Amino acid sequence: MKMLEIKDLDVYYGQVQALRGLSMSIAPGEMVALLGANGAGKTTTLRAISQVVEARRGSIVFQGVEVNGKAPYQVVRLGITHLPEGRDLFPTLSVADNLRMGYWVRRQDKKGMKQATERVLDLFPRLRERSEQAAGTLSGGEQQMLGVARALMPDPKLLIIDELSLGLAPMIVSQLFETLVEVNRGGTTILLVEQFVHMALEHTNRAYVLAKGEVVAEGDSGDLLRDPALVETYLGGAAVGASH
Amino acid sequence: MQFLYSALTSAVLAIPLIGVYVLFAVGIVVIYRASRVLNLAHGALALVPAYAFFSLAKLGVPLPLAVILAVAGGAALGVLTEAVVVRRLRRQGPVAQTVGTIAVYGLAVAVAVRVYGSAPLLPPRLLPPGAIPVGAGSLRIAALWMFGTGAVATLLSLALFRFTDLGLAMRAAADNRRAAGLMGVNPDLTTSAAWALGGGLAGLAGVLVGTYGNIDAFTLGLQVLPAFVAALIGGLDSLTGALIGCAIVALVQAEIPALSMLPVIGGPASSVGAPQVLLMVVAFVVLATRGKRLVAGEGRNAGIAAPILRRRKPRSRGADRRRAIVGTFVVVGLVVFPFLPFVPFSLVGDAILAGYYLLVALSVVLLTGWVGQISLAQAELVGVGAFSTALAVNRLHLPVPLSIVVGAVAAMAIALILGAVALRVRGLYLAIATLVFAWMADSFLFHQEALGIVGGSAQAHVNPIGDPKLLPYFDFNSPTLVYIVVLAVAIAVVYAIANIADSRTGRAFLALRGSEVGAASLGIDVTLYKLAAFGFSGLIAGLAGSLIVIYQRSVEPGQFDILASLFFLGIAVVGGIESIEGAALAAVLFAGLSELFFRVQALAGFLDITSAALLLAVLLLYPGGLAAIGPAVSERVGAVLGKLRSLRRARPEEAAGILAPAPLGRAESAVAIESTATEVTNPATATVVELAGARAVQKARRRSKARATTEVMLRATDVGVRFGGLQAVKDVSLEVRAGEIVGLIGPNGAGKTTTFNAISGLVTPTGGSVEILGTEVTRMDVHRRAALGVGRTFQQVQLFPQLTVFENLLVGTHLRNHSGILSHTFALPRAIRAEVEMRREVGHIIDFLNLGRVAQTPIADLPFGVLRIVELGRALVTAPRLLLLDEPASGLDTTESERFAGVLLHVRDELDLSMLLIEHDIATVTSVSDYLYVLDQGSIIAHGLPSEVQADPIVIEAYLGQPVEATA
Repeated sequence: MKMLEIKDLDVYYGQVQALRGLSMSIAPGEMVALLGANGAGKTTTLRAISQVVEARRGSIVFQGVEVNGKAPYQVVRLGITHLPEGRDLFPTLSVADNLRMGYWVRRQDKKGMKQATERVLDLFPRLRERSEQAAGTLSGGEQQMLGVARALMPDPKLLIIDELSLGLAPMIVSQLFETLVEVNRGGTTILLVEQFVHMALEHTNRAYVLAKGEVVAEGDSGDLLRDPALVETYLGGAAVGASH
Repeated sequence: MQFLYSALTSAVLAIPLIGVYVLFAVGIVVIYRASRVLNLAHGALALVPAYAFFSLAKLGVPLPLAVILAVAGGAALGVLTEAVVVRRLRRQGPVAQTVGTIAVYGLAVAVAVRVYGSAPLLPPRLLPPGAIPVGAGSLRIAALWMFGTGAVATLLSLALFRFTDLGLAMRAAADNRRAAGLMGVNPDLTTSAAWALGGGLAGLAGVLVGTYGNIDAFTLGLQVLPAFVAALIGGLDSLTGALIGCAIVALVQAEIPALSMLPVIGGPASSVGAPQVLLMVVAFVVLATRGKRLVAGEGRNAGIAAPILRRRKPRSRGADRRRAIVGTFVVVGLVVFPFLPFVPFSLVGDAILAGYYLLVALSVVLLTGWVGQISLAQAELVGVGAFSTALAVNRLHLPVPLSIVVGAVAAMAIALILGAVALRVRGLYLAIATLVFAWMADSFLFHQEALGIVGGSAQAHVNPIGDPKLLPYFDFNSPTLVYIVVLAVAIAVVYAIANIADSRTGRAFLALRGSEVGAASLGIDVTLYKLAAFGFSGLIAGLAGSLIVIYQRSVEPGQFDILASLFFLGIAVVGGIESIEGAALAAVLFAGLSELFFRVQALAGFLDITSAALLLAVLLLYPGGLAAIGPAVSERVGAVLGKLRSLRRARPEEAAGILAPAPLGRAESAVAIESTATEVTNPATATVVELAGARAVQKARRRSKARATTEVMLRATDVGVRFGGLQAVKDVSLEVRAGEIVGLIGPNGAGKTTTFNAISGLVTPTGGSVEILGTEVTRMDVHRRAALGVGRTFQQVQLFPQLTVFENLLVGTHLRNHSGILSHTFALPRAIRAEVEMRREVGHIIDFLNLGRVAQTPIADLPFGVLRIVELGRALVTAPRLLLLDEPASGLDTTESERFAGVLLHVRDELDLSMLLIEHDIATVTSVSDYLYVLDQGSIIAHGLPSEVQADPIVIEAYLGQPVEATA
């Protein structure tokens, strides 16, 4: 039984086709990486799942429900949380209010919100100290932590994350990845887009490689890691070298 | 003592004002935060409920119910305005949205006047009668109720925001709309909620003001002006700020009369409009302390002015000749038409009116359409021109032509004051600042007897003959002569600004709209050009005013009030805000409409409704205005014709390099876009391998050469930058030598960008010095550093989104093109020679970077990887000797970064440049840099050859966290 099933997806930006008949699927409990060069369609795939962009053709079925045609706010209610590139926080809202917003879909459950807040603050103790501070005044790393924490608030069934490492020092990136692995062990299915190929492959179960809007390779992350030719072909050699 | 007492009682009398202002200001801020729109329809949201309350009460509806219904009506109108107008114009940008609200306001006022007449109405009294004596005056009980209602409604609104889930969602959506959607909030709903709240509060204020005094469509709508000022003083974004602003505005308005008792300042303080003068000063001072001198562009699809019109296509010789022939016929026709026997006399008057509208619209096209500066005070500038001309004729007895010049110059001088404000204030803030100026002019300036305006609404009489001895043959009593003069001026202005549009000056104007910092980095003096735009626009507006006063012989301040300013902006928008031809079409259309509605009895009284509806219709259906309707049709025809033609013969190539390559067809450009993503860096890809080999040799050679022997391109000595209490950078010293590529790396927040900005001039260091090519530049402006030979790129690409690649690079020739504004205005041969020369230079760089295939593509349509190359190319066009690159690889994938690095080496070696680059991507830095500096917590912690730095344990600990594998 697949949790997410994408079939023959076509997405356009104006006249330019970003996804060409993309198909992929994710089983419950998996942690999957989406790799590829810039412009390969990784971010677009995530955006199509959360319906930030509309697909022209194809289907996205999440737990038996067709996602295409819904508004982003309706997709969240299905249990999919999307952490987009660049953190996307509410800069003038406090850390606590950002977390409250994360729990918006289940806002009636005040007790659950309190527990969820505790849970994510345990994952990121730094945020606890800054609970009343405006999110825009946090450092880059703290902002990224808040982004992840906020995305974890509603305890999503599927968490999709775009470029966790963007603009962060390598040390913080590895910490964040460790946290994600922990979250995944707790039962949350994760799909992530990542530039640091090594880092992504080391922490995930499975990976898809995209090029020009299509899936060109798919497989066990460990196998891909041991297949330098493939990585070289589609991702460029330096990517592997640059990750440590 | 007397004064103090008076001041205190005045403060008490300010109470009812505060109550009303707060109701308006909270709504303005809430709506601004939700939609990023300046709701100029806010007056309508008060006006309509006030009239609704009047009608409901008259129908016998119980008063409390009538109030509730009226307030609900205000909320509904707010929601409707957002859903029908503002939301649909989101893609056209804030200018179009703001103009949309102007149209709604105009429509509401026009309909109200049509239905209820323009005489004030007296609704039933809702608030209890009676008064408390306060000092010399008295405070009505009703005033206390008004204050109380305002205070309670405001507190409830604040509580809604702070304590409810809806309030949280509204704040979140105002902060980041997309993120709110991803959290499960329907952002359209929160926006509607904000407009409902704003509309309801405004409706309540309207009912209160009506029942306190009376209902009058014109004045009630303008009651929101003080609230706009209050919101502006408070920062437009902050509810608390707006509340404080309201108190300031109300107190100033109430206290100024009290000042009249004092000596010296008593006189001015007692004059009409003194409070408005003081409020303007307060608002401008507040803005000046907040503003920044240069701001970055908002990204590749945004811009202050909406990219309403598609850009001009490169014209061919044949097209030029055709235009010239058609133009000649049109001009000859326009000159002879009043003398034709069958032309009715009134048509000459209409033609003068059309010319007047055209001039005013052109002043808007230049300022708002091209330079992106929104002015809501154009009519006041026209008025300054008109009254100054009247003054020159009546009092100074100058001849009419000279008086016209006097009027134009006076308006230009006033426009320059607005320009000075615009140096620090931008976008919608500037729009309100000009609105504040307009308010001051309407209530103070245009009541001055010294200006020849006698009494509150009296007229300025002109003896249009001037001095018969000086100009015996010119009887300015004859409309025909006035028409010829108007025609001559209009043609001259059209000719001048059409020439400027295609010149170095015109491109500098367009660059300001796209990105101020981008413009400055190319050597464009932002201050100068912004002032020039305001001055020129004021000159044109002043000419319009001068001519209209000569024609009409008497003018009233009412012709030049805020409503007129909004109307003039509307004319330009109907024409297509960027277009000269569109402005002409719209001017003729509106002059024709006014004649038609004057002639046809059945239509009498519907002109204002029609104008407002027309503006709304054009905005919603054809946001490009009249100018875009023609091209849209001809493009469709042209596409069909082009297809036929291409079957017969291939498209001829343009002369190499000088003119841009033939514009790409749709299909072709789509292909080009896709392929350029990978192929645009071709020369570099091809050579990157060879370069790697060659570089090893070079590197060795360079290393053997001591660093100290080469010329110093850049030297920063002990540079420190402090923001408030935060020391962002301290004692940073670094050097770039001739021919070197120097990298500046460090973890996030280490101060890399700040250091960089101190070097390029965007930030002034608080300590130390910067020296470029031997010149001390520590406090030098960005554009002057550019003139020294410094080029730069930005982390967030600062290209001009509405322009093509070729045009972007052409802006880069600013410093090398030495032709002046006068030669552009008259299209002198030297300007044309310079233009051809510059186009050739740009052609070389385009070839060099292999950008030929995308040369005619607008920036907004290009993938990010290509934009980095375009921005590099634009910097190269300035022929820099030192290139500053801010994270050139950010946003590029690994392959692209690698290629970009290749391009950098290629550029350095071919063009003999030095570079300083900030970079995150370690692979890129180490592969291109000759020397590295490492910054951590604001200080340089290490420097040396890349291999040395990478091995440095301090660096590894601070930055990398673990050892890096060798990448080269």
